[in-house]
Order: sequence, then C-alpha cells, then structure tokens
Amino acid sequence: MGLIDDGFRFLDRWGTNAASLGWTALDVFGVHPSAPAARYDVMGLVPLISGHDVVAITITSATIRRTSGAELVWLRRAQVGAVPLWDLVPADLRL
Amino acid sequence: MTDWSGALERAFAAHLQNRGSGGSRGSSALRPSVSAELRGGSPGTPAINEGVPGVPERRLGTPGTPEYRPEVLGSRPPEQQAIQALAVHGTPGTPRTSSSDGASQVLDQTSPEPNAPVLRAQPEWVEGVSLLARASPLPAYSAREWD
Repeated sequence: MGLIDDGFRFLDRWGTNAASLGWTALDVFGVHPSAPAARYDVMGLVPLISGHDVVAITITSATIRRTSGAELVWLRRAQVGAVPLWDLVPADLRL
Repeated sequence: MTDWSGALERAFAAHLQNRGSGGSRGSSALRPSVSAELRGGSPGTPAINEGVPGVPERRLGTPGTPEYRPEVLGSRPPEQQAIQALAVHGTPGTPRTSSSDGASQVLDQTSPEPNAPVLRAQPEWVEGVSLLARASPLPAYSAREWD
C-alpha cells in the first residue's frame, strides 16, 4: 500500500481524532517541497506510514506498528518549510 | 456531537463515485484497500449512511428525581442552540444513571465550537487526499509507493 491508501486509511480511522487534537494538515500530510520522499525532518505522519498501521495518536505523538510488531513513535513538531502533499501536484499531473 | 466520522465516510463515498466516471483509471476504480464501509456505495447509487450528521442521544434525567437539571432552550450561545435543541431529554420514570452523567459531561466538553479546527481541517484533508488520488504519482515516488 502506498501514500494514497495510507492517507485514506488514516482519515477513515483517525481523521476526526487528529483534528480534534489540533493536528494540522502539515502534521498529517506535510512534506518538504523539493525532497518530499527524503526529508524526514519535515515529514508528516502519513508519508511515514508506508503501509503499516497507526495504532494510537495523542496530542503530541502517533504510534505506527509495523508488521513485525515493532512500534515507531512519531512526535509532532513544527514542520518548518513543509507543505501539504497535495500542494505538490502540478496542474498538468492532475488527471 | 456531530457525526464527523459519518460525514467523512460520505465524503469518501462521494469521492469514490466521482472517480469511477472518468479519467484513465476507468470506471471500476474503487480502491480495494479503502475500508469496507466506504466500498458500500457504487457509482450512481446513493452513498451508504446518508443523512444529516446528528447529535448523540443525551438523557438528562426526569422531573422529580434529585438529579434532574432542566435545560432551558436559549440558555446557550446562539451558535450552540441548534445542538442543544437536538438533545433528547429523558422520559418520566426513567432513572438517571451515573454513567449518563459522565456521558453528558463528555458531550459538553467535546461539542464542536464554531470555527473549531475539526470543522475546518477535515474537509481540507479529504479534499487534498482526493486530489492526490486523482493525480499521477509525483516524480519523487514510484507508482507502488504512491498507490
């Protein structure tokens, strides 16, 4: 599963909770505008899910559980210089 | 409290319906990995669970019981009165339990305020992901990483 499925699954399961906890679009979908797949320092949660499961979110963090059972805790932070993923879709790539 | 989860599902269902009608991905573009609830609808048919987001039932106890606290319509700010009006009061003879007290408190604490983030953020997120789903993969991502 890729970004799109991860995005839909997150919104389906956690979207309301995240919004209620004050999460922003950059917290969830933020990426660096020129290196969206490489700049982990400004990457939001969904681009990091990589097909795994988000099992918990709080006001400050989210927990991703990998298929191996290992858990990764992602911490909310200021996404300086990030943009929402959808801002990178140029008009000529929109089907 | 407004059923934002339901609203979100309906937005997804609408998105899925719209996807099927055009574009290079064809008319059978229902995403297999989207939750089963979202796959219930098909193009041309109404989305499942259609309806106006409602406020969960809230029982306030009954007249004559010590716990009864009458709630007067209009006692809240105007923007909350519609929500207040939808609250369901208990019927005579229905005892008020301690659990319903807790539920009422939670509802009061989580009722969406006007212009609250939950009202603004989610439509933007749904719209954004829907745009991504319609777009070709960005150069930084492979097709596998994208879909």
